[in-house]
Amino acid sequence: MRNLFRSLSANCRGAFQGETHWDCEGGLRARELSARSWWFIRTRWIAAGLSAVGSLWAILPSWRQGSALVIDFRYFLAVSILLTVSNLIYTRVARRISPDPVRQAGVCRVLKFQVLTDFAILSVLTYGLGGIETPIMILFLPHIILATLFFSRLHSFLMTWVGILFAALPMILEYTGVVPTLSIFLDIHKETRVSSDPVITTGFVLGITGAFLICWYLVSEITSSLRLRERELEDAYARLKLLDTEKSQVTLRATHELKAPFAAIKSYVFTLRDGYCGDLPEQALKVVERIGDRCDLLTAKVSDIIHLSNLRTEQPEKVRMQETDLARIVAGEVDEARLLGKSRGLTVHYRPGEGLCSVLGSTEDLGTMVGNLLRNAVNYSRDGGEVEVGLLCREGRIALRIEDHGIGIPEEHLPRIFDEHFRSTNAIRHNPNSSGMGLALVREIVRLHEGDIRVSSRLGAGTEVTVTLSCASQQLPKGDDHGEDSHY
Amino acid sequence: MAKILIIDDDQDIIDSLTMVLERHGHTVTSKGDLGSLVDTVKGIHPDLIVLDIMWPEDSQAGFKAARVLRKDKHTSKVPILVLSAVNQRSNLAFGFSESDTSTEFMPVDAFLEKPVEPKVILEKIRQLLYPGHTEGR
Repeated sequence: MRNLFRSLSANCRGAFQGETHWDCEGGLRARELSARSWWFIRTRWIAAGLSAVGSLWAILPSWRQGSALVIDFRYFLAVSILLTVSNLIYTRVARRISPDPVRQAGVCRVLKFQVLTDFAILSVLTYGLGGIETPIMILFLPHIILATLFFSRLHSFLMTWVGILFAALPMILEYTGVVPTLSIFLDIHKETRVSSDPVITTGFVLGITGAFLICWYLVSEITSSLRLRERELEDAYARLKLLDTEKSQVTLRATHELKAPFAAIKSYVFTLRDGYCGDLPEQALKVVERIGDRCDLLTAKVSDIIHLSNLRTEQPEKVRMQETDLARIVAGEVDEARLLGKSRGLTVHYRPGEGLCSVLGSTEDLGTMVGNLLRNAVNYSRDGGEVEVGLLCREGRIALRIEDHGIGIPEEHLPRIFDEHFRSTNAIRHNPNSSGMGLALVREIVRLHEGDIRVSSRLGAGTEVTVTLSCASQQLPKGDDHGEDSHY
Repeated sequence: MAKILIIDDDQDIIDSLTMVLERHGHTVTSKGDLGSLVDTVKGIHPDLIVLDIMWPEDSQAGFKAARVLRKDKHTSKVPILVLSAVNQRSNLAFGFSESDTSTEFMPVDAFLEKPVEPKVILEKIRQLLYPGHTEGR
């Protein structure tokens, strides 16, 4: 993570500006609209192909041998050409209009044009296939359903009426004599054509009007309900993000407010210790140093308490996980542990295994986890002792093993070692200056990384801690410097 | 020696730092708020500014002040050393480091976490005032 301040700023911007981009008419989001637009185009290519096949069927006598139908191939051909030309144009337009929220109004308009073009082409096809003699008008319904999904209630209602007009147009034009009456049946008598009957024509027009409107009503009711639900979810998500940001800000402020006074005290301790206020008697200097030590302890404790409370309210899915080289983290913390144990003559051996994998995790938290475990191993070892650190990758899991040969943990205390502030009696005797928060933090970090931790210990003989985490997909390249111990 | 301006809302930090810096020959001026910052800096002409980040009114006030100083041609060249109680390796998993500095977001030259050892801040100030010079030269 780069830093909290930057993420806070970004979160605030996201929360206030809104990351959901609804189209200009309250319908689907730009990205979804764009996806639907492409779906339309693909479907139209299929329709153009089918129309071309229809043209061939109408042209080739051998194909329609034995059929009682007579279809003018020109209508299929016209439909095929119209679909191809319009689709070429829409493909070009769709490529230009990306799912960029800024251009979503453009996506809306293009989709409307696409639906209207299809209505007009379907109208031609309906006429060519004898109007009500075939169920071709059913193809208007998917367009009305999709228009209701795409656009606002008002716009989809208007589009439905446009659909009704285009569907009824062939019958109206035939009935009024504007265009000649067409039939696809060979032996039908002109006078008995249903389109010549005003009752049938009117009934049919009213029928499709009713069917289309009922279809629009049902879909728009469902869509409105779904949109409302989605908006509520979006609002709830935005509120959660805002709360998360506020939580981070409160944590940051609390940390600062609690640490700042200790920082001021420690600053004075430095000035006293280093003689900036004059020379101090040796006894006074010792007291000043003890004040400084307690100050450090309290600062660390405050940090640990806030860190632990933060971790406890985190969910694994919300932690900013990234592919992390655990071996590198361990190598860095081993170096720190070696420095810590140097004055007491401790040796820390590190043996990273072969073919190590990375893990998905928070680099900072994993660093805290490894650091706390190693500090415990060093702090509770005897002077001149040895700590062994191993890292092994097997069956998609990576295991970190830290073993010391120190004071160990009494068996009856093992179940409580992860409790915050808990310290076993022998630990307090061996190392009085510890917050008792280290293993509580480790347990929370392991939980957040959905890992597993096992501790085995024998009083007076030492402790072995094994943390197992899932590997990320990528295996680390061989020969990477993971700080392997030359002694091993 | 240098003229150093300490901008911090904690008077104890100002006093303890002043003791250290003045002992080493620096001239120290302090400011306990961020009002009229550019004018103050123009009036003092410091060689270096020690700036706190988190202020009671705003957690990022220090960064904002740094951006204001960087935008003004009279103050843009003054090195800024950030001193904050919440800093890198803070064990809270959201510290920042010198790698986070940027012209846009964090136009500062160095970070140190409070409390700071006198020798550490003196060395950092030396590095900022005389970049490229090694100690003892």
